[in-house]
Amino acid sequence: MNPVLRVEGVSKRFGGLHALSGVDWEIGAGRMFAIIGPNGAGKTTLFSIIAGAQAPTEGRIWLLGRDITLLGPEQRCGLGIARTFQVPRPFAGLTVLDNVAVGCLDASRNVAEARDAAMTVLETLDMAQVAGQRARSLSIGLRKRLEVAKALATRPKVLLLDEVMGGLHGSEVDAMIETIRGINRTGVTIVLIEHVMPAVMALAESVTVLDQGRVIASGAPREVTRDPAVVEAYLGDELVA
Amino acid sequence: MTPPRAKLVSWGLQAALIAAPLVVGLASNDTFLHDSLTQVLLFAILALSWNILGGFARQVSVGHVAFFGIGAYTSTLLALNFGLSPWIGMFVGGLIAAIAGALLGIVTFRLRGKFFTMATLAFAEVMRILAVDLRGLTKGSEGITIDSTPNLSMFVLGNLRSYVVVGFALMLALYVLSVLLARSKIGLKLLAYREEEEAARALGVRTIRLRLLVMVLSAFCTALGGTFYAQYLLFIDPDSVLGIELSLQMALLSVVGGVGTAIGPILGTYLVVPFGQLLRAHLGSELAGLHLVIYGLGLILVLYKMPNGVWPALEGFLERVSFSGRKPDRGHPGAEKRA
Repeated sequence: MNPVLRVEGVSKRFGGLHALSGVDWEIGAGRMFAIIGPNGAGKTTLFSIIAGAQAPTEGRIWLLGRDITLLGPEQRCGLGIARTFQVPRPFAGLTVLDNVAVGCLDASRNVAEARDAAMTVLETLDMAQVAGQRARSLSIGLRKRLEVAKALATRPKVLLLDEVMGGLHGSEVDAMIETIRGINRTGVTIVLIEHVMPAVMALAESVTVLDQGRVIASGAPREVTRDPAVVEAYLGDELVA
Repeated sequence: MTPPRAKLVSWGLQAALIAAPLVVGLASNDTFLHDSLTQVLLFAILALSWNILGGFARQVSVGHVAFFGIGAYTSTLLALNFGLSPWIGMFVGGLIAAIAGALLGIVTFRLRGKFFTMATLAFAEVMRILAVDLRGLTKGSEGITIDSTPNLSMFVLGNLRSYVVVGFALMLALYVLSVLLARSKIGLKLLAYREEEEAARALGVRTIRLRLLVMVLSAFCTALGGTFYAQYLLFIDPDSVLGIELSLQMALLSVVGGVGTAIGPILGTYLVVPFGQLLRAHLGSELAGLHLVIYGLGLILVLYKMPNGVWPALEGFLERVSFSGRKPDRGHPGAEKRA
């Protein structure tokens, strides 16, 4: 495996709370990974540390063999890491098109060019018809989609998707699964944080389970979901229910 | 999306607003009117400059008078001590203010919201105290009088109408700059930054660099206004060019007209400054302070009715009218989040 992203001994403490403890993890280029685990397991914290929004207390992050631990999120974006936010953060007063165009600015000479590029992204995500609407008027399903569009606009090598299925209806989940598959087919490495297990099973080639800030299992989805430790920590209730 | 007809009306209105003081100034021979117009233009220049930082980046500064004072003192001292024309000194002052702005920006880059605002206030006060205490350089509170013999090359103009023309030219330049800035890549980045900073950074927007850039630009433009003021009144002292009221006034004018729009600061100035002048002229000698009470109540009323400022309210009205029946999109950048 050729690791595109490597997390090495990452810990994060908030005062006395150990959000992450010595997480080691690496992912191969062009594949799809999922991180699962109960609420508060540290999944989003791990994303934030990979994307540069938070600094780890200990440990290092490597992107394509380069140590990026000290870089800010805007620099990591330039190097090819993009993330969505679990709670969508649209630029509410801007149009959907301009929301996405912000992500296209660095690769464009002017705003018009960025908007053209943004329109192409919106078309691939089937959102062209809402391009002119203000982001604040979007439904939750479209807001989640807009998060993906914005991240995709930066032409990432690694795309971190934080619960993009949450709050979506059945058909919307299916559409999102297809969308993510499509993105992956263009060579983008995908990492999902996801509670919607059918989506995880459908997409991920490898699943990593976090519990109380530690990796408790990692491997193919079928094996991991049968792991007794995982069942106990997380899946138990849902499998029974 | 704004319908084309509303857009056309909007641009026409903006052009008329900008041209108005020049047209009135050239048509009239009334020196009192010329004096009023020059003051209005000066404040419009300052409001436009403030708006680059306070409006486009939503970094509310109440210390902009520091840059104004730097502009006024730099060009005046260079003229007094080295005979340098204030036409050139103006840009030297701009550069020094830009450097001061960059330093302030670097020191305060971690500060957000009201903490940033407090830091700018402190910065302006330090400048004022320096101007008072460095008597050898600035003549302290005594102030500096500029030779009033008309001399075009030294920026001492023979009649008030000429000041209207110069003020107009500066205001127009700053308006064009604001429009270009808003339409540039920087403008879109600023919109993203002021809506959701963390999300903007995640999309590659270098927010610290962006803040520094607008700070420097805003400081530079404010300093140009400082020189214009000095050459108009031909007298400067720390209280007049470094007093805190002027900082608040710059912010106020933009807020009334509509922060973050190019025309807002101009419209705000047109509404507020003459209103203040008229009240002072007609009520200033009545009950002491009455004109200020009415002035304050007027501002409260306007902002209560139009919290985003007068221009956005006007544009919203235009859109509604030209949509005739269709539900307008009333969203406006920053309508929900205001600094």
